[in-house]
Amino acid sequence: MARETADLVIVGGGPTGLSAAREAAKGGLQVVVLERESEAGGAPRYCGHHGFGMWDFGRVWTGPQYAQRLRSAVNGIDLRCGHAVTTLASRGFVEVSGNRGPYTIEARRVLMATGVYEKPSAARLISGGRPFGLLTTGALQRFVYLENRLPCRAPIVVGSELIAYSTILTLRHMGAKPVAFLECGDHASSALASRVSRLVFGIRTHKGARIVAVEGGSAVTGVTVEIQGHVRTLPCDGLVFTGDWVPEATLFRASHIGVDPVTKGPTVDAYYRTRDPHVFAAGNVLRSARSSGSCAVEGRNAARAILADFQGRLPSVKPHGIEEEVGVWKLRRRGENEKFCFAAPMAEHGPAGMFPAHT
Amino acid sequence: MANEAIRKQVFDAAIIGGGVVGCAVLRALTLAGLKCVLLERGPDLLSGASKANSAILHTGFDAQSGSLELKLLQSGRAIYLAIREQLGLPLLTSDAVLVAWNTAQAEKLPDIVARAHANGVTGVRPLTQEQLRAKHPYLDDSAIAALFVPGEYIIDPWSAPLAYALQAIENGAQVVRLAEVVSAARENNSWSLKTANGEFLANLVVNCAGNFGDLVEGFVRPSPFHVKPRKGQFVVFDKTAFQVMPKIVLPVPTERTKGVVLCPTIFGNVIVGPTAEDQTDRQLATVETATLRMLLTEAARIVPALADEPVTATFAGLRPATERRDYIIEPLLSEKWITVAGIRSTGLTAALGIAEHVTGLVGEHFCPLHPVRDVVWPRVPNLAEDQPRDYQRDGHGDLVCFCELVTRDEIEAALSGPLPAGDLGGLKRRTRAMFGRCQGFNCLAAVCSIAANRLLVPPPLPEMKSHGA
Repeated sequence: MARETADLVIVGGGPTGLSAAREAAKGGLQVVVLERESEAGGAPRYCGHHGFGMWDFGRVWTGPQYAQRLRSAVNGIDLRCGHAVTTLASRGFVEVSGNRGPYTIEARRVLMATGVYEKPSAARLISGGRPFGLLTTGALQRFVYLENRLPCRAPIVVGSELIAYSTILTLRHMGAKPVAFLECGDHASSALASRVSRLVFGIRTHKGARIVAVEGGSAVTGVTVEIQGHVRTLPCDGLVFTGDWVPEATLFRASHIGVDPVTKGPTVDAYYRTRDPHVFAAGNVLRSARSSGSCAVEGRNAARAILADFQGRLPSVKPHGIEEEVGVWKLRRRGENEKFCFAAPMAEHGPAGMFPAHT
Repeated sequence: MANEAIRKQVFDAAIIGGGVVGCAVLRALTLAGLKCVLLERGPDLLSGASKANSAILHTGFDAQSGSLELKLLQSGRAIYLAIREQLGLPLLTSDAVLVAWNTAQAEKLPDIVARAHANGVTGVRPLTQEQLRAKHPYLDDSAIAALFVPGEYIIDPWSAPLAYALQAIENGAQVVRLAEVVSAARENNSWSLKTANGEFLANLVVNCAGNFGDLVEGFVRPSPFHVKPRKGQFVVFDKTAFQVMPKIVLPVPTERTKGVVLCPTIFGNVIVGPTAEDQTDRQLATVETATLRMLLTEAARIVPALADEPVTATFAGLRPATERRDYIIEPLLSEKWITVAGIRSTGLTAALGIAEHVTGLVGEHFCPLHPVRDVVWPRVPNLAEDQPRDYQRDGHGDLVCFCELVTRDEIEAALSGPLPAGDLGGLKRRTRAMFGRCQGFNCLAAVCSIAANRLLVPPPLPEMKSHGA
């Protein structure tokens, strides 16, 4: 197995990883970015709607436009697409599966920026069969924007956060639309979007809805729901589960670092540093999803912390490896749906912001 | 698939049902020199009872002494261990501990040891608390007594039967899918089987129809048994759970069922299940939130570290139980028919033994056997986590499924060759793609694009309207 070295290995080529790569390279580090997909850019690649780039570029773009900007900002940096990290070992060793076979990088520092995915119906322990048509927003967007296909024409969307209502835009792109939204709480998470979806698109949000069972043998034919005490079956050809983000932290879970039981992501100190001082983490892998722009800012700040670390300006890790977390996060429990929402301080005011940008 | 030449041919034997038992019988009869055809109602093999089980290669330590089930389970296990390396099939030599959590259960342990020894499984022995801790350090410390059951192993529940079918095909057998048998009649001393995919002629029929066994039996006689599908629900934990599950954990069995088992999988996960719920539907096995929660609670009670492990998947399977306890394997001499029914959860282990037994019945009662001289031994792709996987090979190309590390080459291979995947489920069973923690968030769309036009039954994607994008 071949072995190479790097100053900084960044795992994940989304907004966090690419922004960090740019900043770290500006600071003179030899950076390798490992992206498992065939193209870098992260989730914005398949978010066709507008609203990207405001935080970090001061512009309003669609997701794919934003992803393109992120990519061109790292021109000249060693960006390897199709390279998946299979093991995060101690002392900065990273095992990689690339299209030229497996290899190991010995990195002086590692930044994990692996992002999130949405909890699928299985992990939500949803009752019923497992027909084709059980999707997440991410899967739906990939069908539409990456494969130019429709997985379903008239789905019901589970959730009422902004991401849920983004499915209207995604499906509209292909001439289809959701038939209803289901929210288990008593209020739509995004009240304005709920109103717009009803008034403009004629799509209702059922509040206080509990899924009784998914119907269908080979394909979804409907969903039986209890809405405020009444049980009925709503016909649909797909179910799109939205929100309820899970950090893509499997590499941490399987490593010596582990994850926090509440956030399900790694614990970091004020400098985005994990229990292992060789390994940093930033972006959505730390907790539930936040916007790509705030992730990009966080990636930049993490890169600055790593640069400071190389200059010996970070305090040493406390011996027990228990560090203070980034800011003081308030936990807010909503209803009985076991969804957690973190009110975190804005990343740009985060503690790592104390380090000046390198020019 | 079923071309005219196949339809006009008179086969020596037709096997109805492409589950693990049908695949093994197809292999054994083909290697015994018979021209065979397997008729499967689904779009792919293993679409019924065989698609969901706990994947344990049993020893038979707790089987009914003197039963046909015990005999065939033990011979099937021996054949699996003898042939697996030639077919490229994996084996996880995990062994098991059987744990009593209260005095009533503990009182049953001596009988279990006695039965195990009577069944020839002589390694089963009581463990002290210290020994139990050493075997399974993550077990909850409230266990009051335990047995060690060496030889309870884990296998790949899909690659194994697919390998049996593939070897049969490579040695001359035919597999026809989407071929539900709708009627069967004796004509000129042979069977004419009308299916949804054409008519087939055969001198002998072997009924391996699993959950539809009694319906198929109705073609030859009023069925002396009735299939009562018994549902089992399972929860799959993510791969990080594997490190806290070094041994299979068995409960003290009851009269009715082996009970809820915790076991590692060959793919590096951990599963908990099954439940045992009678139902009438022969095809659709649904999961229920409350039951899944119960399984999770049970798992965390037995191995507390599992409480923090994320759930990767949930599934339910149907075992073709009948009103009889034992397997039903009967030759009907004048009708030229062999019934193989009531093969319950032990079928994965017993399949090769059942096949050998059926072959013996064929040689004894129906036709001379001329075993194939130069047997072809195809190898199936490895999906087991303890063996080298395709993604570890130099120049493997793109990864498509990131959770299970499945390459594009593996998906291409599963869509081609003599036994290509027939539907998305078959593709999952051949590659593990879409089986992982994100359940297709990352790869479903890409897999559908690669596979959609190449499957016998493509995923039900809606027709595309033209649009402005």
